[in-house]
Amino acid sequence: MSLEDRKWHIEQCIRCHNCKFTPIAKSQRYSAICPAIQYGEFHAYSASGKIITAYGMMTGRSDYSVETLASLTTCSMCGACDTTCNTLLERKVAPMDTLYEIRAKIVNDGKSPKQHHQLITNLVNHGNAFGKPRSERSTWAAGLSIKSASKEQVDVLLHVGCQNAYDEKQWPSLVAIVEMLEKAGVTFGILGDDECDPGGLAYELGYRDVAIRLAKESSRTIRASGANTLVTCCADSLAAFRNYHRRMGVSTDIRIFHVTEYIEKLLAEGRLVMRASSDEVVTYHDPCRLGRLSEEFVPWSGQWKEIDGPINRGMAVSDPPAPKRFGLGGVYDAPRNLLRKVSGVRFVEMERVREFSYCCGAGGGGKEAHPEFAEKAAMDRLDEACSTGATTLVTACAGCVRHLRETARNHATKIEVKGLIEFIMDSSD
Amino acid sequence: MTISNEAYAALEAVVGRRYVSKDPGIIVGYAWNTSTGANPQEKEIPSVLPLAVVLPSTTEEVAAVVKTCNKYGLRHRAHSVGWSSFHNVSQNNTVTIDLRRMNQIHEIDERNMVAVISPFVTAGQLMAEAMKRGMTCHVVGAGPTHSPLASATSGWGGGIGSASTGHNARNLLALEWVTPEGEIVRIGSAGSGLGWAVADGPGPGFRGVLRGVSGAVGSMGIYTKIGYKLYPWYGPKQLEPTGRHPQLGIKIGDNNVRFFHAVWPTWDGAKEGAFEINRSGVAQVMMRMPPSNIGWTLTETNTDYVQLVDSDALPEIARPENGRAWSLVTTAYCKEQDAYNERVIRKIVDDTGGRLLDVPQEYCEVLARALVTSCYVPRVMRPTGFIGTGFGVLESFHLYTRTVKATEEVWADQDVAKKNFCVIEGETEQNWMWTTERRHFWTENIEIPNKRTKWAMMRTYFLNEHVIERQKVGISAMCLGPMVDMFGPGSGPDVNSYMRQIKNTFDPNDRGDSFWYISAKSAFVNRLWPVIKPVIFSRPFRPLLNNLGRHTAKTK
Repeated sequence: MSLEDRKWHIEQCIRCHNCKFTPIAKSQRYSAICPAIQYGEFHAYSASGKIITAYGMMTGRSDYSVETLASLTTCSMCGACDTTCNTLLERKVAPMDTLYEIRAKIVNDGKSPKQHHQLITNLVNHGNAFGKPRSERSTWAAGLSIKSASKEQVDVLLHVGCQNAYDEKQWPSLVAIVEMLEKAGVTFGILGDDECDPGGLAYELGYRDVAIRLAKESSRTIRASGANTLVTCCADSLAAFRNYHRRMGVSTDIRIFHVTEYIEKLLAEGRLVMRASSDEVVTYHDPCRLGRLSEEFVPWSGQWKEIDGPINRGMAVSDPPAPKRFGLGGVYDAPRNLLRKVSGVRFVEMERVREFSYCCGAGGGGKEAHPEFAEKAAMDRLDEACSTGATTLVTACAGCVRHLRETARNHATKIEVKGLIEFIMDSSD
Repeated sequence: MTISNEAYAALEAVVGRRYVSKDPGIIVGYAWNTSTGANPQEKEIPSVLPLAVVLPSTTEEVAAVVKTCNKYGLRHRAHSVGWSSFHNVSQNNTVTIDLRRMNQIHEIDERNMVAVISPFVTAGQLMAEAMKRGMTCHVVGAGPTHSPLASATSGWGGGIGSASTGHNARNLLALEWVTPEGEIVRIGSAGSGLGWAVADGPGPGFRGVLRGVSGAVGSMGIYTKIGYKLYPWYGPKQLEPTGRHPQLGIKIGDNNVRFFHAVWPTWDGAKEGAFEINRSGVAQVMMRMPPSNIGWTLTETNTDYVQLVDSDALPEIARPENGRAWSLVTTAYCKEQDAYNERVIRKIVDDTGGRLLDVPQEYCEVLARALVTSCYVPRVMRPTGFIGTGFGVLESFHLYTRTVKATEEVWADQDVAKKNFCVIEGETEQNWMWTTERRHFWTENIEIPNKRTKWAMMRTYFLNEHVIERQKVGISAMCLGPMVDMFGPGSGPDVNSYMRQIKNTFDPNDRGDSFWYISAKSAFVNRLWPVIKPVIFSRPFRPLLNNLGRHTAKTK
């Protein structure tokens, strides 16, 4: 796949604006769906604009410039545009597929932002995007007697993820997860310092070679553990396993759960009991990579063609039928169900939820290359959270927690941001 | 062609550096030729690009930008949401003024049922806010993402919900206008500082001069704020989504919002039934969609639709034999009114020889959403990515059957239809019909072109216009730009001359990009047109007509 291969799809863009708005607007204030156009204002910042710009480049009408690159890279790769475009046009335009190719072309042409390049250098040299030593990856587990899945046979491989492993604020949540698994009698282990970033970020940044290398390495170490189930604490990693690995042709052949799904399963099986209570008003932010971007990607090879018969002539159909992708396969219910199990909690929804969730701006390299963009996205999301009357904003992605928490602190926003496990932990008897 | 450094710096001085760009990668996004009314040619970046794109945030900035353009000899074209090809600049030396930053709902005046809005407020946004207050707004066919201000001031204005939400020519109340000279003028009650609820008048008003039937399509100054009429909404204060994406519906039933679909065995029966339903006033929304279009709306993908056709499994509502039909949405403020609405509809349908289809609840909810929010059009774009609409008729409801016959005449020409359109087996026309203010009749014969015969679409457009004129089925609302001199007189004597006078009076220096409205001077070919036209529409001259379509498409 290359950008050239996306030409027909770009041509199907009807510039209808649906990549900018949620299809079920409940108010004007929270009707936007794309944080990039909300920040950049010019059409070129939207998904439609980005792919038209790419089309202009393909047809010699535009080229790289500072402004063009800014419009193309101001994006958290959150996938909202793709979901809303598919609402009306199925996979004909599928803007995310083109955005991935645009990023790859930018890298191939040597135009990637230096901040993205730094992230990749960190991933290559240290196995994480933060540039932290690989040897510190399992510092969080010091003093805990967790099995090493590299050395001992375990049923469940607990995949920690870079954000959790290197952010000290996440460590209590990791410890709590370990305690829950132990209470439930799960035979589990971790890969410790051998755990790899699974390559999702590299894929989103357009560094395909690095992404494939990381995906394969990650897959190899997971398979080598012999575990039959992988439970990841990291939303980014879940998106990598369920979505990006399949785009890269990497298969791990293992059952994969997000930790919220797995805890919900343990509770349903009666292996775990939650005793938690809170009188707080809580709202929940769907992380993009736990939600729509973790929808399983089903590889498809075929072509779109226009019917040539006398009837329905000209109608574009995929042959064989392309898998549907409407954002429904993300993890939406498990986090909500866990929140509702905290007795006394009053759960209120924001207007933009589930597959139409509004991104906080933290992902896809957007924050590193364009921090003001990411800050605006987070401010907009925090504003929406506050509008519900909630006192606590809970989410299930360490990246979202960190970004939203920093932004809330910097702007003295009157809402507390917590990770889901952290919230349950704080509410536990 | 590039903008001078001096002119560019002057624009920067007005809006700030961040909000003006001449970068090719930025401006190319303002030159995407697609959607209603464009040629179904392969997508290509048009040869004419804006010299720069400017994003003002206030009326004063818009005025200053226009004055700056005038000072440096530049044309300008306003751009709101960018739905349809009319956002494109069509002449060299033109600056696009993107009004995206002007997105305020300034006020919703419940007492006078008026919203005061800026250009970039979308219909979906306004509807959501109005419904919270028991009101709704008109949404034109382009759907929830269009700009009501752009529609009300500058282009057509008919929409699916017209039965109860009027036509935008009349929904436009007081308005704020930046003239092509850059002067800020307020018209109607706003001109006297008396709010936004009253358009000028009584009698012929300046609003009508500026707008007319079709609007000036962005060629005569820039509208920055309007009073926009709102209408009663008895349904819930927030539309409650149902179904699974993408088959999203709205909750209906016990909230006094109902969906009905009535079919008749003949067009005359459908006309009589629709006429009586109109008179009864029970329908909030009333629309006839071709069955195929309903089928596209009820399926997630084109493949799903084709599979249903191939396996003869189309739901009853989407079958061609049930095309003489009307979809209805009723709303009520109490159970008794809800029951009354149903009784009236059942009696009228029964008395006129029709029947109400038993439609599965899931479909009712999806179609009710499509009708209430007007999200039909973007979904209908799915089959081929384009709709052509050569036949937009705004006229008396008495012309219903005659208009159907006229459109069937176009489709009966198999040479035209099968070569050019996405033809649906069993369908003989593609009319989208609705009633405006429960009196006037609107239909668009929506032709879905297949791209293999792209130039023939223009030929079909000409044929449609010719049929409208010859069959005397009303005013063609799609007659714009170069077509005005050719077919405009069919709408009334000297229509094109009056339009030209208006354009030249209020934009004497031709600063507004006028391609889609009317040129400052009539082309020489237009003088010959009355002689050419009878010949060219005769059957032996069809090939010549085809070439005319090709030529028109090229010059665009």
